[in-house]
Amino acid sequence: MARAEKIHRRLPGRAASLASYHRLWLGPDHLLSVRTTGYSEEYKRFYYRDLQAIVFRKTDSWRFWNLFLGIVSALVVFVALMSSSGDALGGWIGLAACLFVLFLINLLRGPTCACHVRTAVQAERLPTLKRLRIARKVVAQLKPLIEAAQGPLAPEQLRPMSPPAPVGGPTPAAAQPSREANGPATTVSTPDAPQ
Amino acid sequence: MYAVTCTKCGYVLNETAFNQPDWTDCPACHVPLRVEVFPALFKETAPAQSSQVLVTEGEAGCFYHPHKKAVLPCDACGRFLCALCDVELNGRHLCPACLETGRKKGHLTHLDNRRTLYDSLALTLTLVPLLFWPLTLITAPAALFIAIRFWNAESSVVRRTKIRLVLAIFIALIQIVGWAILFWSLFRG
Repeated sequence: MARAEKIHRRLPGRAASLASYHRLWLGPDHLLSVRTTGYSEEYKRFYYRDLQAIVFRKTDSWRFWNLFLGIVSALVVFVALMSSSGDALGGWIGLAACLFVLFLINLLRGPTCACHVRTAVQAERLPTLKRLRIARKVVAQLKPLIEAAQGPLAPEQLRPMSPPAPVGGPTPAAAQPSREANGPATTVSTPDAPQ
Repeated sequence: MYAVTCTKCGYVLNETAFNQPDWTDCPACHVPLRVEVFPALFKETAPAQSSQVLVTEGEAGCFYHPHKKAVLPCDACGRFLCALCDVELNGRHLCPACLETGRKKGHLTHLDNRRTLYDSLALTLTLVPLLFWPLTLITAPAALFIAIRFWNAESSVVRRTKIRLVLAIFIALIQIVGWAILFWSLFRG
């Protein structure tokens, strides 16, 4: 039997919960998000030619867990120091060491983020990209492939078309600058746009 | 028309936030964002194709819509297709019937969005019952059956080896042989 060709390359980052496990794979023409649930795998493919944007948002999880684990570790150390019994002291110090290791792991893994990919029809969160360092690595690998599929982005496409939307009313429909309303001067053309 | 929104509050971001070297705060919720955009964002959506009615008697018609003008043949079955019936998938032009057949038979892996991992199931059936070994009397033959029955079944899209199936068969056989020896020694006296 012919061995199937290996076309996917595993990307760094993983996300696990009680019910599922996520990984991200790099395909020849798509990004593959795999969700493993028990004895089945679910796939979501994001084709490089369809990817419109990748949005990162900094989250507070890193700071929260650093603070939480730091405070709890300090409290356990305090309780250990107050403890008079020798047996209990060992237990408290063991617990404090475990918490401190968790604190260090979280600290060293770096700041957290939420990463979404956007296509014309969906905006999907990539659960594996929850650490900024990993997200940067993945995007560094993705960008050349997306550019190869879509061509380079013309600088004039990034030029502001209209004043920023008002802060008070962030309704997408109202705040969205209309290209039609801006007249012919704002019409954008891309190398691969259909004629 | 395009819209990239803040993933926290849904505020529509404008071009000043795109492809910046540093973090940009969302104007509405002030959360730090980085937005990498690509040319597909600015691409105008192509209008939906509509098939044309046959103009002259001599022109080829679509296999599924004989009154519509054929624009190309199906890459799998060769039937003539109109613009409406043509489905493009990874550079191949297929008719809806071939697409459905390919999906059902697993030939079009790009359409797979779910797969059952029989190899993991078989391996779990051999390993987990070891925690309560009498269960292996039932689970070992079951694991062996699954491993053999689904040996050729499509497994994970990203994992290509059969090591789990091989291990499952090996461990299940050891368990079955163990049970056989146990029964043999019991009946022998």
